Formats: sequence, structure tokens, C-alpha cells
Amino acid sequence: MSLFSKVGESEITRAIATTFLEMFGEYSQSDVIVVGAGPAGLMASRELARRGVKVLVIEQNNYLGGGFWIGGYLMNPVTFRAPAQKVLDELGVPYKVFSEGLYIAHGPHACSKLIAAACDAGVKFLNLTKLDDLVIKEGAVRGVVVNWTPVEGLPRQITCVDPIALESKLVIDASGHEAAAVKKLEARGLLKTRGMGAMWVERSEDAVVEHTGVVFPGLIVTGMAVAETYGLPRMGPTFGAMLLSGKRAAEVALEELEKIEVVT
Amino acid sequence: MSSIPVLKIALYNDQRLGPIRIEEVADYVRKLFPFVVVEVRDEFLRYAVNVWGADKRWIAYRLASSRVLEATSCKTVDEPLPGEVFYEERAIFDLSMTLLGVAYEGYALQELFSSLIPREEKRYSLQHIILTSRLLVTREPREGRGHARTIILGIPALISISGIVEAPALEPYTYLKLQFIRSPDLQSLFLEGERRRLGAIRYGDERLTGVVKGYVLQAIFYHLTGEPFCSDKHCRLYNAHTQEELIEAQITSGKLCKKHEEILRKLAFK
Repeated sequence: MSLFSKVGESEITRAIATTFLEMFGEYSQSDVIVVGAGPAGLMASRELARRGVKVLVIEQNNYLGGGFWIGGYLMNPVTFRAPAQKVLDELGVPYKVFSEGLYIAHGPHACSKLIAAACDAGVKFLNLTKLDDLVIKEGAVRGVVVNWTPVEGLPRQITCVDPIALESKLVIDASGHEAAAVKKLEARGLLKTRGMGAMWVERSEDAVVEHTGVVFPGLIVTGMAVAETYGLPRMGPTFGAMLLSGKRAAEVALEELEKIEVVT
Repeated sequence: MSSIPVLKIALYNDQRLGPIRIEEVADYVRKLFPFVVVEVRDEFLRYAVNVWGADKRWIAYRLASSRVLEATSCKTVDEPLPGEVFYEERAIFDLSMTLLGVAYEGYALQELFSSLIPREEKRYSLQHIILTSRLLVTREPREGRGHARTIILGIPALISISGIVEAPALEPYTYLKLQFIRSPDLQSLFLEGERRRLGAIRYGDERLTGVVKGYVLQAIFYHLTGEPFCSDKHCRLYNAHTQEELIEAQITSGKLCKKHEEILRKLAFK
């Protein structure tokens, strides 16, 4: 007698496909689509979902977490400057005080806790999904056009696979240095990014959090995409700003959703 | 009896980067200059919007246009992004924003602030001294590059709180060592450690109030005599270029030199 129940291969396939397609169909129209599942995107999506917002995250890699798994130079410890340790408390991530105002946690522990918190809140994910374009309606971003990452990686002459569109009331660009959604607008001449700056490197964390917000109607920018958009100083492996920027993005999104509700 | 007309100083507060005991600064000025009336006002931009009815959207646009993109040339942005304008508009009233990480062209900001002061408040007998959290950068033509500033004298006088922390240099050894650190975060941590080690002024520092007193004096001396600075390193009017000099002039000594005490006495009883 087998330890596991007797289930055929086709049944397993049906379980995967049905579950995926059910979610895919339901979330083809979301309240908010977040581009990128790094720390800022995860934080923003978790904060929104736990307030009842229907959130879909698209992630071009086959794993979630972005650069949050590793603290830098292939070393796992991740650092946070006060007051970001309060978010670690909230997520139940163990950490130590390294020096005054500087906290250190284990990257895999912090990252997996954040992913779990987002999942627990009800966030849905599409992995290996790459942003191809934005849906723009009446002068505002109202969704994303996506394709499979492997398809996007091949020359179009070979693949000939059209992308598909997913609609939402808002899009949050949490794609990190790539600033993928913002760059799509730039390519259309709708705005001009400043590129990563070098001014006043030391104070970049405050600037990223404080600049998190609406960059174009329907599009909110968070995390390192903020630095790329506004030419703020780049920063290294300190994650406090990513978490707080994600929280801020969620606050802004809630305000924007409220405005949209009023209009409609 | 004094022949100098009574001077009124409008001292604009800014508490974003740590508590500055603004009434203590005002009392210090009142004590040194008995002929001066000091009125402590709200943050300048909030005051301009709330009291003078300035247009916050226009202010935000001008602030965003004064951002420095590149330190060497002090080049400012050509056309601000809507997000930059929103940031500035929000910053006027959201006092939790530190405004750190953004640098502004100092003279452009001074011009903007000056343009907001109504005609009836723009007179010699009313001096406007503005504390601001914003980091001010101006281009030093001789060196061909931008420098962060602690104070920009004129009408109005701007005293930058972030400038007090960031502009005066630490010791040369710090910058030599900094060149070997590649990661911006490690640079940041290293500089923070160096600030502590050298006892430099930091954000939220209790000593900021004392330092601000000295810069307010420089602004008043400039207004009254045209000469804000002193060559004596122990005088509060010394134009400090390093944190060590700043602390010596403003904290350790914390006094005017004999020459400037005499000038002050003459000003008071002229």
C-alpha cells in the first residue's frame, strides 16, 4: 500500500490548470496590479490586500522576493535602519541590534516571512510574467500588458506569441532599478525619468520613501523605481526604505482608489 | 538714546530635523540686541501660504524646478516631473517629511522665498531669517563645483539645518578612507560612525540650537554692518568650513570676539 493517495497524472494537471485559470480569470480585472515582487512590491501588495483590496502581483522571475533574499555580495544578512525594524516586528521577523539604529536579520527568514504575509493577506501572484506594455485609458494607466518571461526573452520573429492585457484601477511600479512601468511611459514620451542620481547618497532612504507616490495618473511608483524615476541617489543593501516605501505606496493607492470610487 | 531705528526680525521656525529651541534663539538675539524685536513665525512656506495667501502649487513648481541634479555644475531640472511637484506641495504642510536626499540650488531658493515676501514686509527695518531643513547647494566659481551651504546671506537670509550637518567637512582622513568604500550604504554607515567619533553635529543634535544662534548672529551682523564674518576662530561670526571649526566657534567658545563685542556695543548705543 502506498503512503500517498492514488491520483492520476491528468488529475494533477487538471488541479494545477483549473486553480490557475480560475485565479487568472478572476484577476484579469483587479483593483491594483503590482509590477515586481521585491520587498517594496510585496509590502505594498500585502498592505493593500489586508485592507480588502484585490491585488495581483506580476513577477518576471520564477521566484518572489527580488533582491531581498540576500544582503549584498552573496551574504545573507540584511540590514535595516530605524524605524524600519518596526515592520520586522509586525511581520514577526527575528533581528538583532548591530549598532545604534542599525538592525540585522537573516535574508531568507525576512524574505520568506514577507512573502508569507502577502500570501496570507490574499495577494495573488503571476510568476515568470513580464511587463510588455501598459493599458492606458483616458489619460490614466488602467492595467498592464504581459507575456511569459521566456517568450519575451526570444526574438519576436521566432515566438510570434501575442501578449495579453490585465486591467486594474491602479498599477504600482515596484520593479526596482528597471522602473519598468515608468519606462514604458517614457518610451511613449509621456514623462521623462531622471535616472539614478549620485547626489547626497547618505540620505537616499528618506528621499525614496518621501517621493513614493503617483508619478502619472493611475501609476504609483515605489522602491528603487522611485530613485530611478526622480534621479535620487542609489543605495546598497539596506532594505528599510523598501519596506517603508511599500507601505507608503499602499497608503497612496488607498487614497487614489477612494478618489476613483467617488468618480465612478 | 539709540539713533538706530528699531529692527524687527521675523525668525521662521523649522523643526523637521530635530528640536531646535527657537524661543531660546529668539531670547538670545533679544539679549544681545536690545533694540531688536524678534517675532518667531511658523515654517516660512506654510506661513507664506497661510498668512500671505501664496499659491502652494506655484511654490511647489518653483521648488521642484530648483532641485539640483548634478553636484559639479549645480544644474537644476529643466522641467519638473508631476511627482516632484506633488512631493513639494505635500512637503509644505506634511511636517513629518524630512526633505533629506534632495538638494536645491541655494540662490534659486532664496529668490523664490524673496518673491513670496509681500511688499509691505520687504523693508530694511524688517529682516527675514529663515531656518530650513532643505539642503542648499551653490556653485563655487573658483573651484567650478557645487558646495553645500550652512547659510545664504541676503534678503531673506537662509540657514540650512541639513547644511549645518552636511556642509562643514569632517577631518581629511575620513575622506581618504571613504574613497576605499564602494557601497553607498557602507559609506553612509562609515560617515555616521565618523560623525560620532569626531563629535560632529548630527541630525537631532541638542547642540543645533547653539549653532543656529551663531548663524542667526551672522545674518544680523550682515544686515546691520554688511560684514557677517570674523577671522577669529573663537568668534561666533567665524565662517567655519569644518565641523571642528564650527563646534569651536559655536559651542566651545559660543561667544563673540572682543572686536565684535565692541561693534555690538556701539550698535546698541549709537
